[in-house]
Amino acid sequence: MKLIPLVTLVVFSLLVTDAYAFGIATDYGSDLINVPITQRTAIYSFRLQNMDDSEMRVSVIVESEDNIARLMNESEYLIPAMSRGVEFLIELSVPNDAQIGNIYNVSFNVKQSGSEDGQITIGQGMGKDFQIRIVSENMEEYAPLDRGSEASGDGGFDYTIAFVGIVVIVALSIAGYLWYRRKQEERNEKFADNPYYY
Amino acid sequence: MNKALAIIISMLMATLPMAQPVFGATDDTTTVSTTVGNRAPVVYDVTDISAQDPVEGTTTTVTFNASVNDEDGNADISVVNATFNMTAETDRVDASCSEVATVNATAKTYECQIDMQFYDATGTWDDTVYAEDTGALSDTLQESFTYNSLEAWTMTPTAVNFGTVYLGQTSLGSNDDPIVMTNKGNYDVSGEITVTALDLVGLTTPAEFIPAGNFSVNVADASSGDAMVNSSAITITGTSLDRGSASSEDLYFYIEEVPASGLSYQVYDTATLGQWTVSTA
Repeated sequence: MKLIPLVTLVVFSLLVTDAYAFGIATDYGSDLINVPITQRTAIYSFRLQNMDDSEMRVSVIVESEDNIARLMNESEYLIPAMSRGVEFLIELSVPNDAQIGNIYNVSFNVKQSGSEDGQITIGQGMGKDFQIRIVSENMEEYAPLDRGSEASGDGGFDYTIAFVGIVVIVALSIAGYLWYRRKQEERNEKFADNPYYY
Repeated sequence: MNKALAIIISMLMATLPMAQPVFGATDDTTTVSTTVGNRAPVVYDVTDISAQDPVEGTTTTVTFNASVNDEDGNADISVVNATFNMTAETDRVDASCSEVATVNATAKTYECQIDMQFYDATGTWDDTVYAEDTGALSDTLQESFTYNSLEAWTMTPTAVNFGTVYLGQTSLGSNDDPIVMTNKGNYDVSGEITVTALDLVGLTTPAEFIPAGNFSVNVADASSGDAMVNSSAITITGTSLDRGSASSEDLYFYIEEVPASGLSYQVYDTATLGQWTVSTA
C-alpha cells in the first residue's frame, strides 16, 4: 500500500453537527383512500413540520400510476423555523376509463437540502406510498360515528320522559275512574227504575 | 266485567296518592318523614375533538370542554377528569379538568387539556370524561377522536468526512460515525431506511472521482455493510427505528476501498454531483 497522501478527503472535519428535523403529518388511514367513481377529482393535504430553530427548504415530488395524482402549486416549500402550518396538496383525478375496484399506486417524496459544509453532505428524505381505490358512489370512506348526538342521553336518567309517562298514566287512570263512576251511576239508575234489571 | 273493574281499580290504587289533590284535600293530618337521597352527576356533553396531528419530538395539547349536571346543585360536583385511551397504549390523563363556566344552578362546564406524545399510536383514541359528586356517585361519557400519523426523524451530524486517505486503503470508517437517526414521530420506519449515494468528484480535476460503490453503510461499526450504488437508493440492512420516546438508530459509513490508482492529490466531495440522501419511505 502506498502511504502517500494522494487523496485528501477532509477539509472541514467536524464543522457540521446539525440535526435535521422536518416531518410530514398525514391523516390516519390514508394508506388506502377510497374515491367514489362519480367524484372526478379529490384533493388531499399533507402537513410539513419543522421543529428546528432555522427555516428549511424542501422539494416535493409526486409519482403515480396513470398520472392519477399531481402536486398542486409549487414543488419547493420553505418551512419556517418551529412551524407546522405548511401543507402541500395532491390532486387526484379519476381517469375516464376507471372502473370500480381499480387501485392506483401513488407516492410522494420530500427532500431537504443538506449542509453546505462537509465533504459528503447528507440530506434528509421522507416519502409515503399510498393507494387510491375507485369505489361506487354509495361507498363512502369510513367515517367515525357521530357520537356527539348520543351525548345528552348517555349515562343519565331522562326526567322529561319520566314526567310525561307519569302524566299519561295519571290521566288514563282518572279517565278510567270517571268512566267507571259514570257506568256505575247508570247501572244504579237503571236498577232504581227496574229492580229486576240484573 | 269484574275483570275490567279490577283493572280500573288497580290503576286507581296505583295513582291514588297523585290523584288525591284532584278530589280535594282530606281533613286528616299526616306526618311525612323523608330522607333526601343523593343524585349522581351526569356528564351530558363533551365537545367534539377534531383529528390531531402529532408534533415532532414534543407533545400536542388537546383541549376540549365537558359539561356536567348535578340535580343536587352544581356545588355538589367535586371531581371532573378526562382520559385518552387506546388499547396497548399508555393512558393520557387530565386528572382535574378546570371549571370554566357555570351553566345554571345545577350544571357547570369544564375545560380539559391532555398532552399527547409524539410517539403515541396513530388511530382512534377513546376520550372518557368522568365526573363525581361529594357523595362519591359518578358518571362517565365517552367520545373518540383520531390521532394522525407523523413521519419525522432527526439525523446528526449531516455530513461525514474521512480525513486524509491513501490509495489502496481499505475499511476506513468516517471520522463522524455514527450518524444518529432519532425517531421524532409515531411512524415506524424500521427496515425502510435507504441511502442514495453519488460519486465523489475531484474538486480541482473533476474527471477524477471516487465511485459511490466504494462506500458502504452499516448499522454496526464495521465495514462490509451495504454497498452504495451511484444514484440509486439502497436499503440498509437491519435498521430499527420504531416509534418511541427515545428510539434511535446509528449508521456507520465506510470506504471499503480507496481506488489503488487513477486519483490525484485533491479534495473529493459531493459539491459537484450533489449530496447523498438518507430517506425513509
